Amino acid sequence: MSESTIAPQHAQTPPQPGDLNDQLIASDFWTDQMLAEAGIPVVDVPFVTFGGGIGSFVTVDYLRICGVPTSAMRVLTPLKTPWESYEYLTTVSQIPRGERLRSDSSSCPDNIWGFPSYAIREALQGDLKQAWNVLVEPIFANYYTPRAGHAFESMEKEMYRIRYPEMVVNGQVRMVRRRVGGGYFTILTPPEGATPTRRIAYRSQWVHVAVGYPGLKFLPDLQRYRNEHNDYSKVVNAYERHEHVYERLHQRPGTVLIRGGGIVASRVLQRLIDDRDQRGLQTQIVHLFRTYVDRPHGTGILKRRKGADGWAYQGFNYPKSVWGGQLKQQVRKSEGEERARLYKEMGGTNTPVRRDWKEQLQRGRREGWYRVMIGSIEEMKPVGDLVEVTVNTPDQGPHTGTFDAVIDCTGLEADIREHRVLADLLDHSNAQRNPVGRLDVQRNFEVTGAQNGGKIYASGSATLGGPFPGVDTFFGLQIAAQEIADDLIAQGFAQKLGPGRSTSQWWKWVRNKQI
Amino acid sequence: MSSATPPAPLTGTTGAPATVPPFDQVAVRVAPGPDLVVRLPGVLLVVGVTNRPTGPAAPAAKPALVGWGSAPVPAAPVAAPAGDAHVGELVALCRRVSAAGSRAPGRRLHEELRSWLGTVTDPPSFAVTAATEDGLTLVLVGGGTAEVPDLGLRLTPAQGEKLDNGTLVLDRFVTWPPAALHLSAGSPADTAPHPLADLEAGAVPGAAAVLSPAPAPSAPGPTPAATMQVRLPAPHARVPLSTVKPPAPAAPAPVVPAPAGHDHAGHDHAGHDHAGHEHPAPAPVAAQPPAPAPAPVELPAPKRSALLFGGPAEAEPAREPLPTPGAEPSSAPAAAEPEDDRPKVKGILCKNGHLNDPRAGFCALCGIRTTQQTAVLIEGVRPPLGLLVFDDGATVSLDMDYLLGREPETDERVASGQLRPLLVLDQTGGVSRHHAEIRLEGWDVLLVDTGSANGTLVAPRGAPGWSSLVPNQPVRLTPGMAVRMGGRQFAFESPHGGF
Repeated sequence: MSESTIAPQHAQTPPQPGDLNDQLIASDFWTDQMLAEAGIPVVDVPFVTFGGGIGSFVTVDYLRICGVPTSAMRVLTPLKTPWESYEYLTTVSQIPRGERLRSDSSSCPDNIWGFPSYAIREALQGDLKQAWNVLVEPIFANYYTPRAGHAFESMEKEMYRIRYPEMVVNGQVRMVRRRVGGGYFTILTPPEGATPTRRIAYRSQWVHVAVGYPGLKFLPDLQRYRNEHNDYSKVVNAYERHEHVYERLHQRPGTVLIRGGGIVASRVLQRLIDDRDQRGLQTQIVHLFRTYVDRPHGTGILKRRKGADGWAYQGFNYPKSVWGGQLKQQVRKSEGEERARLYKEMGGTNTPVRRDWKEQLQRGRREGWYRVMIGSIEEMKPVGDLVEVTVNTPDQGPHTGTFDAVIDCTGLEADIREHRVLADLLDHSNAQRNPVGRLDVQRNFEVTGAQNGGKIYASGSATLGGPFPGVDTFFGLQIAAQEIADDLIAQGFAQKLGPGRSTSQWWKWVRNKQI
Repeated sequence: MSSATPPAPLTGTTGAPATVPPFDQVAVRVAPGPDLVVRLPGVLLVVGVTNRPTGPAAPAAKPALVGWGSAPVPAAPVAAPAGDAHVGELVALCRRVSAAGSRAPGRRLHEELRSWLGTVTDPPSFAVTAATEDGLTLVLVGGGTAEVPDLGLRLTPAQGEKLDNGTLVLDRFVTWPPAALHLSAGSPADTAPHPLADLEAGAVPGAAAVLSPAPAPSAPGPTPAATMQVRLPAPHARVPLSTVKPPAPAAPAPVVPAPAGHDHAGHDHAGHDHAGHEHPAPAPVAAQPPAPAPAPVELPAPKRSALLFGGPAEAEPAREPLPTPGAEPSSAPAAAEPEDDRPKVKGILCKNGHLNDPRAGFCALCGIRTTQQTAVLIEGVRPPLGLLVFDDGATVSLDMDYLLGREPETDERVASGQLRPLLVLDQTGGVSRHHAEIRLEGWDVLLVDTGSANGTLVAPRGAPGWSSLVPNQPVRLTPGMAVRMGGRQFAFESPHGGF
């Protein structure tokens, strides 16, 4: 339905000055001449990063510390701040600034040294409990994670320290193509009316792709429900704004169906139960698992993962040794099938253990307002003010129930092809897919097969399945930045970060001295 | 028309438990006589007033005044009604039970009568019947009888029980007979009631009352339509009425403002809960071929149904827009011209072709990142821009402009369809008739206080307190913003826009 309403305008795109032409779109390699003919202005800058999220920020941060001037780098992004997207996702999935993140934080995106860490900084500000926590975790305490707001604020400080805003160019990156004679062209579409031409080309020797998640993918049944019933309010995804669900439960009691068994589900449950406790609500919760984990599981005695009550428990999305232990080495050395198998083994939906939240669920089970179902959703349709959901259970056939709201906590990521720039890389720049189906990168995070007298680097979630597993975490982004910086240093773009430079830079960081 | 028999057994005999028998819709014919016939909603009473209970011999008043000759005074009938306190008590009791407003007062009447009879030593003769959920309750005392001549049925107190104080009482629940039911207090009904006679409500002298069996289109043409048009809808009106009626006891509305302009108050209905007694099914008086007058009957019926439809909307105003989220795909295009009349807005397309707020980072429909796509503004049909969550849990999907207030429908822009009315009921009376407007502009939702008496307060999420709106100055609603008008409050939530 939504497509049909907008079809007409598509046909005619008025020719604007400096737009892409068919020849450019069809060519894998571009010459300077071709761009000149198309009227697209060319800007020269050695290093271009686009995406503009935390991935870009961390990489630029590293390079700035390695002495690269701001004039040598450009960040092409539609985002206003590096953490805009991240903050949106954490906020809607119930981790507002005051809450603690649930992902790995063994690194700080604002501090390449990782020292002092978030916990130490919190301790220095007087919260000694956090320092104690990191000392005894994870045996006597749950893993420490920083507050979301803490991460954003410290990033903001670092952003101004490295003069990040000077490097930002606002706009959408349309594509990256290889240049005849070496290097790349990155086509940027600035906001309408901001520039005389529709596109601007950035000619650079290195390009860094940090577009992050290609996007979320709402499950087909959710999309179908929205399309058919034009109802965006009762069936929601946890990664979109759904405050109205909680608001309504506050106004009158209701029953909610939660779907999924990952971090977000745990977070949404905690929100629902917090509301229940604090506001004295009578919310009933039905939790739908597709796969129910009732016992520890794993492929070997040393690779066991705790599990109970439907949840698979793990401190972070991967086993901790992915970031620095045997698993990191094992994956780094693996290729192809072997790597895919390792990813499959250590991956899977899981949730960190949190005592407060486990206590809540236990109470819910005991008092009967938290119930669990196993199965998959067959159909959803609105019935008056409620949603009627038919669940297909593996052992008891279809069940039907009505709910005030359905919160879908399954975090499906779209295929990398869903992202136009990544798809263009696959189609025109000889980029490859890795064993897991994402963008294949080397150990130095350069995109395999795209070398052209320069390199395209990629980091973040799009490269999941590479030689380093935890790429979509703060630490993963920083590892990538480190590898990329090392590679660029080797090519002479940046200065080596030896002990002397590192120490002096660290002191500058401590004193918050702008560089 | 005359023998509209099919409906007769339908409601009459079976006494289907699902609906309360349309007791108040059937005709009650009164045979002339000295006793008193009282009809109240749900209750029909025939009470003897000729002093029969005290014994026929007693009333022969002895004019013992010196100097006075005995006049051939018909003293008994005149004096008795006023003097018999028990009759008064009985009528008052019936009136109280009827006014209590139960849909079917039979059971309650039954109980109250029993306790009353226990306190009275020599009750008057009477016969009373009242509607119950699935039939009638009958109480006969003294000379009271209940007869169904067509079926050869007859009940007298002799078939009942004897109370402690010696009163013979027949007191039972019966099925509503499918033929006319004669109630009398013992007076011989020598004259049959006029076929067109009909007592809708009130107390009149009479010897017997004949309760028609079941609803029938007995529309007595010549009689002023005032009575019948309300109670006896034309047969074709039966279906919509019966479907509409049960959920909404919006009774006075459908009855009183009937455009025929009849004076209903005069019928002693004022103050009663009409809802319970206004029954949907028509009432064919099968026994009596009614006077032929189809037109006056059929005319008012549609009006009545129209009013009934209007009724619920008034009764539950805050909920009125509830169906919109779900029903919208069908209703919106239906209300407007197909397709093109829907409001357009310029937005960006996600990769899968869904129109989105240019500020949104993720598609509201499929969740894909919109930031990967060149932000070309495209005009398309605007999706709902969010919703209002009221303090009673009702939600309103914002797909067009709304006028909020106590009587939003009285605004001409609402009448013209430019604004959709959103009734905000407030017990405190703090909501003005036209209180505020919700305007959708582009991807923004604006709130304008239209000069309300008590003002409108807003509080963005996390704000420490409320701030007052300047009248006629639009304010953009941000997700999570709370709005207060009078004693009511709602919050705005939206999947669009930033956070």
